[in-house]
Amino acid sequence: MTENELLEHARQGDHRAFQSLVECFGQPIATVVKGILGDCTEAEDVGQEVFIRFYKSMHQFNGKSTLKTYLTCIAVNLSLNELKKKKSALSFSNKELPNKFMVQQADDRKFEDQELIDKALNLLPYKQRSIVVLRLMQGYSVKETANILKIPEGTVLSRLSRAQETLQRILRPLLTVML
Amino acid sequence: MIKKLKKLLIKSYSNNLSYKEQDELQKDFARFPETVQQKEELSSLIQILQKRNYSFQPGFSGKIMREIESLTSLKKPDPREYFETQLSLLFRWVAPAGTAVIIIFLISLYLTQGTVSVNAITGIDNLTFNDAITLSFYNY
Repeated sequence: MTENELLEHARQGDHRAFQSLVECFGQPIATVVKGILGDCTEAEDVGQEVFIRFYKSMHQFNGKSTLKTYLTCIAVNLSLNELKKKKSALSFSNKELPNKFMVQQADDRKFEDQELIDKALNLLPYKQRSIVVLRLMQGYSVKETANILKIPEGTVLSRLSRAQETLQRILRPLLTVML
Repeated sequence: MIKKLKKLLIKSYSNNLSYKEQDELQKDFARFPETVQQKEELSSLIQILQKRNYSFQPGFSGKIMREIESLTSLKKPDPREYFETQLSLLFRWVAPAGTAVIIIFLISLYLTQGTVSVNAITGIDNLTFNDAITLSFYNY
């Protein structure tokens, strides 16, 4: 069944169809939520909330955007709200980036690649992080990213440029292996 | 200049550069050879980030379905419970309205008859309380 057929069945009260949608979009939504919040228990809760909100509002979904984009919008909004609650604990500004940390990361081979990526994402200010997740990890275009975050395209490009500089510095060890 | 080039470079990954912008980017690559390396680094960065696959814990969809089932069962109570709830809601409106009607009746009775005795209520003179009860049995 296609996602539209599953959605139609789910709207008619078929719970198995809704579960199939959850399984189908679980991975991209996990990337958005955990990319923004980090791999923590709050991210699991926010992930659940995304699908519960969708269940409550699926009759209002008019198909103007794709289902993935619609779910991504809910996921981004809920993740950013959650992040704002614990903003001070998670975000650093670019100026505050701990250079010592980055040098340690470059030298310390014990760190797994994925852990390094998570740390790098967590070091980004949340406004840049959400753009990196949508644009670079999820592959949305600049225009789509701007629409999801309700910001101008120029802002997406400038934040992405700053985020890219930071990520390149932190992920240097991985980049040098690839190049 | 380099900043503008970087923006073009990032934009190029959306595949929505105009012909003019594409031309500009190619010219800039020729003028600043170091940016070619930046382009490769950006490609690698995207590859690295896209390799990071996040997923929810096992049983995630099951948890959601349980949550949804509890929501829907809350929405649709069984008919008996529904009737009882509706009845108690109705009582909350009927009880004060009924009390108000009785009070108004007693006040109007007092104003017209000057008393609120059983005789005044039943409209029969010299009626004792026991007579009123006996009468109500006969009427029944």
